[in-house]
This record gives sequence, structure tokens and C-alpha cells, in this order.
Amino acid sequence: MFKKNIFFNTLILKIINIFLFIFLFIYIFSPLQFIYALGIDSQSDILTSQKASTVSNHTIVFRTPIGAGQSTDTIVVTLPSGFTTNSFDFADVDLAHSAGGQTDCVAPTFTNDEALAATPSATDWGAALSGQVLTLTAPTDGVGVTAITTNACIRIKIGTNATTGGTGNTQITNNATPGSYIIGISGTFGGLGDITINILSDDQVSIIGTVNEVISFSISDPNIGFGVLSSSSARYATGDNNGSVSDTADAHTFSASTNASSGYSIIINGATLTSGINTVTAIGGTAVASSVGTEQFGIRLIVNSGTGSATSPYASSNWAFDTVNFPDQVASGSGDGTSTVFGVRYISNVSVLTEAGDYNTALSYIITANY
Amino acid sequence: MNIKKYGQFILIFFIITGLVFSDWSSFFNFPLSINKAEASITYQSAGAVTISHAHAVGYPASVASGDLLVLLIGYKATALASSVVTTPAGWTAITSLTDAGGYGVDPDATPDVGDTAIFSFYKIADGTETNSLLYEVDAGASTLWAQIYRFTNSTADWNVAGTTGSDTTAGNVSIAMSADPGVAGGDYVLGAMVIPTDVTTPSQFSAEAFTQTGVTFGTVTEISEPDTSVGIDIGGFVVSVPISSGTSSAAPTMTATAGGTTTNVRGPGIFIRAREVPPTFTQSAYRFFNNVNSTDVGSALASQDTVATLSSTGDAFRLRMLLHIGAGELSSSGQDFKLQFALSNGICDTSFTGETYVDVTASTDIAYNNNATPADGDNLTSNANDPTHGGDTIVNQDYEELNNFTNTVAAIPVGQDGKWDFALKDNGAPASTAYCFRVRKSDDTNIDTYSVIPQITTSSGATQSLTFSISDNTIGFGNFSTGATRYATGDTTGSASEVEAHTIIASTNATNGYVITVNGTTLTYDGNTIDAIGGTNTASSVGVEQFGLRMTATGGDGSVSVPYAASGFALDTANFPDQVATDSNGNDVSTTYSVRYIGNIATSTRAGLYGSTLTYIITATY
Repeated sequence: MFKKNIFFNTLILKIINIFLFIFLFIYIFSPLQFIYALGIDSQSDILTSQKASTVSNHTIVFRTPIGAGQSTDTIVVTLPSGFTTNSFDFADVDLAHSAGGQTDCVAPTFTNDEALAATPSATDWGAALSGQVLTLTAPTDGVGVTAITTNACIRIKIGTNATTGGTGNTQITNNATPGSYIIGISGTFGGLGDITINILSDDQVSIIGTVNEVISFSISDPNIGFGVLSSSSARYATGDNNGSVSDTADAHTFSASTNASSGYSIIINGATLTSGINTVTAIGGTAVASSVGTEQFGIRLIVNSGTGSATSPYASSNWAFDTVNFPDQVASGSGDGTSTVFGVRYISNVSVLTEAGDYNTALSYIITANY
Repeated sequence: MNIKKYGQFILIFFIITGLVFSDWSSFFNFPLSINKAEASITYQSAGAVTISHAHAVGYPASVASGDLLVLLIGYKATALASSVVTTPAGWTAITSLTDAGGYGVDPDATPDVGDTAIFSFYKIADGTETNSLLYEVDAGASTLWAQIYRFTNSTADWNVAGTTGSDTTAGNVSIAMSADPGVAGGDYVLGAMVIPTDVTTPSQFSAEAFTQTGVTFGTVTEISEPDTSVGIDIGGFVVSVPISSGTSSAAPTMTATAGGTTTNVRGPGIFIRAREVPPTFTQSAYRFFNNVNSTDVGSALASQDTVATLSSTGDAFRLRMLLHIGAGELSSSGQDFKLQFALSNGICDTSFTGETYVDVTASTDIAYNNNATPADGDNLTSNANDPTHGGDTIVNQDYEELNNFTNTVAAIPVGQDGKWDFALKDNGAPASTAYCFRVRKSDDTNIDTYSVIPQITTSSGATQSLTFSISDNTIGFGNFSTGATRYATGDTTGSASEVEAHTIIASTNATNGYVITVNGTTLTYDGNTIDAIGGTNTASSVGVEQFGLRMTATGGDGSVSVPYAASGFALDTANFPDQVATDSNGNDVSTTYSVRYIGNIATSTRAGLYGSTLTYIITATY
């Protein structure tokens, strides 16, 4: 019995000693006594404009030394005075953080996008702006999507670059005075640090240069002829003035090009074939086929090369000559600088009643560029 | 056996180490607080009664610092209703009652009748109160009496409260006061009444007495029956009485027997309670400011009650802090305080968890700063951005460059806040480190309450620097040609040979250097564009649309990034904003980037005045 009591008392003393030892060890070396606000690192702020008095988005990135996983944790962003917040709210802010700790924040992947609200809830971080101070307060469970781990990279977007849960519509206006300004990072999450940014009177370079206007137009042959017109067969004008009975060759061509923004148009003006007071009837504004024995004078255009195009009613295999609407457009082209070669063909038919004589006409082709 | 000995040695080692390095004194709540001795107030004497329009009343004899002085003024208005007495400088109004007595006529120039008024003020003497006190009364209060009464205690801690009532009927006096000012054993009461006649005074009143639920009054002593026949007559009585015991739970009643002609024994009564009670102190508000060589402060570093961060190592700064006074008035220079600071344990909390506070000195990490012009203890100059505490009256005190400090400027009445201005600096404190501040009594005891704890964070180290400049914001190619390459120039006329259009100069001391990006569009005119070269460095190609840039770097360690670094040109709009240059070592040496722009057009390029705006952004990573 006596030995048992001694053994029992010794056991109690040992247990007390162990507890005392553990208590004192924890009390002395508890890490709680060494948790202080530590400096953040790898911090930066990417602006979309450094120009004074100009709105800009901010993308603030930094590595947290401690993380954030308590409901009492806050991340405070203090904007420098003179930067107009324009009363941005939580919808203009994004908070994201990397999965796990990072060695730096050079190119982290922000896999965790936290939901934000005006005040914290069980799932949302609170984002409240007071003066120049944006305070992000951890959700009431301290976690949100997931707790921010030690050495995690944190990204805070402010402005129209905030897209989580909707796109922000308010940006911060830069200070009106060029110079260096400090954005402060603090809060109960235990990270502290500054980010210096630079505001310029102008961060842009305006570059100008002129592309001169170019237009070219040429007619291959200013003199063409039908030869002897006939009431029994159609005649087609040729460059040698002898004419032809077949529509196999261009009487002449003209080439056109421009770099005008709206391209060019070519018009024709003049009169039908005339001999004194007598004329060969112009075909008119509707393209028609050759009609032997009937007075006809008309033209049609063929695009031999290039990107231009003949204009109706001169664009088909039939013929037209719309003197009523002269000057009448016969061709057009874009301002692509490409030279288009138009082949121009002329037809004439006469009837038995057509007065004899030398018939001729002078047609003018005019090109107009639209810049 | 040896193991057991070593175990005991280790145990003792940890016990001793624990006691040495832990805050054992606070852990065991040691030293124990010592309860204050039972209060003891003595009514000493009164000054002479003033009865004229001189508006000067004599101080009692032998006024010493810490004495409580009470000033009573009774008057009858003859020309101006509800006349007022202006609170004398350095005094605090207690309570007052005008137009009392139930006559319903005020002002009334008829002798021996009419409503009267009583005003009361107090002051904790600073020992300079000799001869007489000048006070100001509305001109309409032509007939009056005034008298000052002196009380003493051993601590100079005072709390004064009062209430009033009115007797509207003739005969003996019975005045039910309107409120309970709070009365308890050890208090002292001054009672008084004003009547509009001197027919029987100064020997009219006797058997003055008080009743109040819960309170046992001591012996009532009549101090005076001040009266005058000058003007339209006035009278009254003043008594004092110690409180024997109890605690009040209702408003008091003052009674007295009136002899002689009692027809006009009607008017206001007053009940003033004096208590010996020390003031309580609450650290109630603060704000950090930039330092200036003045008793004024510079611009605010942060909002009120908000942590602030110093911008540079070694920065001087100012802390303006309020102490709210409760319970008893803080007499002038009534308490010595000192400012302490501590390394923050994450957050500066009002329980000081994990923080070890030490006195701020001229050599601590956070130290007092000695500005050239103002001297320690000078009166501070108020600033529009100073901290406030609700609607409390702020009593400006001193500018401080050293501990200890006190309220040398003025006493601070109960319910008001004293404001002090501390000139401080980062005196070699670690970078990016947060510190907390608290005010303590000079005897190393905490003040009563800490509602706020100022926190400031030192700069992140060497002052961050970032410079960035663009030499020319407008450049041009002149006229493009399908037959020759054009290069942009600063005079906007362009060149047929490659030249520098502008420079960019950048530097930083950020740990991870900087990157420069370009953003914008290619050359554009009216919906038409000149093709950007893209993400591959490409040589000039005459007759083919090209718009691009390249850069060369000189000085510092900055370098041009691919694809802008080679002899060809690039403009990777698909990846805009695209990095064009970087400096990874943050050596704070400037690098000058020469930026060259190329433009080629094709015959198909539409005519027009083309333009592009490129934005260059520098981002430092610290």
C-alpha cells in the first residue's frame, strides 16, 4: 500500500512535470509571440494609363508572407492622395490568389477568384472604399473560395478590368501632377508594403504619316472607226478605222487605278453618230442585242484585267448608249491601287432608210476618284 | 538518476526563462492596483459678496492649486428678459435657471418683486486666483449678487454637477429640484436661492435643510444671505452641507424657514454637488500627419483612426491623439502621461495582445523628433484635419518632443477631450514594420480605456524609385511611298533612312526591376490600316505595308525585348500590351531606349493621313 502510494504520487508528479514542461515550452517558444506584420514582396501595379488626370485600371499583385484565413483578416489598399477613386465599389474590384505558395509573382496562375460584396458574408469577401482606402475583409468563415495560403500571390484588380461576377465600370483617375506615387498595402492579414507608380504628363506617342493620293487613267486609242456601215450586217469599230463584221476585238482599251478610299468611277459623254443633221439612233439605256437593218449605235465594256468593273447597262454582252443620261457611268473600281484594263467595243447598225454620209462622234471618258 | 537531475534542471531552466521573457507581471496582474482612500471634501470659505454692477467678484482667501471654486451669480432683470451670464474664461458652467419665481413678468423694474435668475460655474484652481474675477452679465441684469466659494480635498480630483428648481409661492422656502445630479456619501453640496427683495435679508432665513431619497445629509451651514438695495433690490441665501452617507435615487428638495416679510420669498434655487473623483482617461482618437517644423502639422498621412505608412526610411511624422476625460475634470497639469510604442503583433489591438510597449525616447526605434523651431511643451496649433471625437469639445494642449507630457494649456472638463501633438520619427526601425502607440500615466499604469490604438508602418526600405520619361510624344513619317521606306522622326516629316524618333528613359530600384509594354493600334485612317508587322522581327520590304518599331538600349542594364531588339522591326498587336523592354536588376541606373519606327505602304494602300497612338507603360516589381 505504501509502495503503491509512492508510485502513484511519483506518477502524478511526472504528469505535472510533463504538463509544466509542455506549457512552458509553448509559452516561451510559441510562434504567436513572433508573428508580426511582415513585408510583402514581388509587388507591382500594372496601370493601363500613366497619363496625368486620365482614368486607368490597376492590377495590383503581391506575395503575402502570411496568407489570410481568418474572418478578422483584412487587406487594405491605400491609394495615394490626388487619385480620384470615382467612388468605385466592389463590382469594380476583383480579388484572386494563387493556389499555394509561390516563390515569386512573376508569372503566377491566379486559380482562385474570390466573390466580393459590399460587406463580407459566409462566402464573400467584403470590399469597402472609404476615402482613398480600399479594405477587403475576409468572409465570415475566413475562407471564401479557399483560404489564402502563406506566400500566395494575390491579385487585386480595380477598374473595368474587374470581371469576376460582372465587369467593372469605374476606373481610378490618375493624379493631375506627374511624379511618383505610392500605393500602400497593409491590413490585418499581416502583409505590409508599398508600390511606387509613375505618372507622366503623357505616356503616349502619336504617330502620323500620309499616303498620297494616286489616280491613273489612259486610253489606248483615241481614234477608231466602223468603216462602211451596212443595213445587212452589224459593224464593229476597230482601231484601224476599217471596222469589222465580227465582235472579236476591242476597239480600244482604257486603264484606270487609284488608291482613293472610295475608288473611282468612269463616265462617258458625247453624242451618237452624226452626219450633218442625220444621226444613227443611239441604243439607249437598256442593253440590247445587235439588230441588223435597224439603226443602232452603242458600246459595251469588258474587263480585260484588274479589279474594276463595267457598269450596267454596258456590262453585258449586249449594247447600250444612254445619251439621255449623259454623262453616264460606264465603269468603276475600288481604291486598291490595282490597274484595271477595260476593253471597249462599239456597234453600229443602219437601216435602208439611214441617210448616206460620213457619220462620226467624239466621246469623252472621264475618271473621278473618291477620296 | 542523472536523467532525473537533468530533467529537473531543464524544468527549472524553462521556468526561469519563461518568467524572464514573458510578460509575467501582466499575467499575474501585478502589481495590484491600490484603491483610493475615502474621499474627504471640506468647505473652506467664501469670498466677499459683490452686489453691484462692477462685475467683479473677489476670490476667497488662500486659494491653492487643486481647490474647487464655485461661483454663484443671482440677478434680477430690469431691461432684458432671460439675460445670461457669460462663462468666465477658465471656468465651466454648471447649471442655471432664469425667469424663476412665478411672477410671470420679466424683465420687471419694480423693487422687491419679479422673476430672478441664478447662474453657477466652477473652476479647479491653479493657485493663481487672487483678488477678483471679472465676469460679464447682460446689461439688462442690473441688480445682482455674486460670490465665490472654495472647497478642498487631498487629491485635487473633482466632479461637479448641479440641478435647479423654483419656489413660486410666498412663505417658507421649499424648492423641489428638477433632477438628481447624483449624490453619494462623501460628496459636498452647495445650495442657494435668489429672491427679488431685501426687505428682511440678511437675517431672513433659518433652518435650511435638504431631503433626497437615499441620502443622509450632514449639518447644513448657512454661508451668506447676499442682498442689496441697490437698484431694484435682490436677496437670497447660500448654504453648504456635507453628505454623510447613501446614494441618491431621486431629485433633492431644499427647504428653509423664512422670517420677516415673506411675501416675495420666491425665486430660483440651485443644488450643486461636488465630489472627489479622479478623472478617467480614454485614448479616443488619433491621426497621423506629415511632419513640419512647426507646432502645426503637415498633410494627413491617413484618415482619422486609420493606420498609416511612412513613405521613406527615417521619415519624421506627427501623431495627434485625443484623450477623452470622464468622471472628474482633469485640472490643468493634473496628470503626467507618457507615450509608449510597441512592435505590432499583426494588429494594434486594445488589449495589447502580443505587444510589448516601451517608452518613446529620443533614441528608440520610433523616437521623438526634435524639430528646430517648436520646443517641447509648446502649445500646439490646431489643424483643420485634426482628429475629433464625436461632438466632444476638444481642448488643445501641447506639442511634445519628449516624455512626459501633461495638459499645461488648460483643464479638461468631464466629457471633453484633450489633444496632444507628438513629433516622432522612424529612428532606424526595420522596414515594413508596424508599430503601435499608447498613452500611459507617468507612473507606468495604463489609462482607463483604449478605444483606438494608433498604428504606423515604416517604409518598405530604401525609398522606392521609378522614373520613366518619353522624349517626344508626337512623331511622324511625312509622306509614305510605295517606292521607299519611311522612318518616323520627331519633326513629323519622316526620313528615308532609319533614325531615332524618340527615346524612352527608365530606371528603378525595385527588387525585380521593371518591364515596359506598348499598347495601341497600327496606323489607321478612316477604317483603313497599314499592316502591323507582327510578332516576328522583319526587315523592311518596300512596296509592302509595314508598320513596326525597334529599339536599342544604352546605359544601365535595361534591354530591349524580342522581337523588338533585332535590326528588323516588329509590332505584335496580337499580343498587345506587348513587352518591349525590361530591366531585371533594379540597380536604379537609367537606360535610354532609342525607338525607331518604320512605315512602308503598298500601291493598294488607301490614301489618307494615317495615325496611331501607342501607349508605353512601365511597371516595377518591388
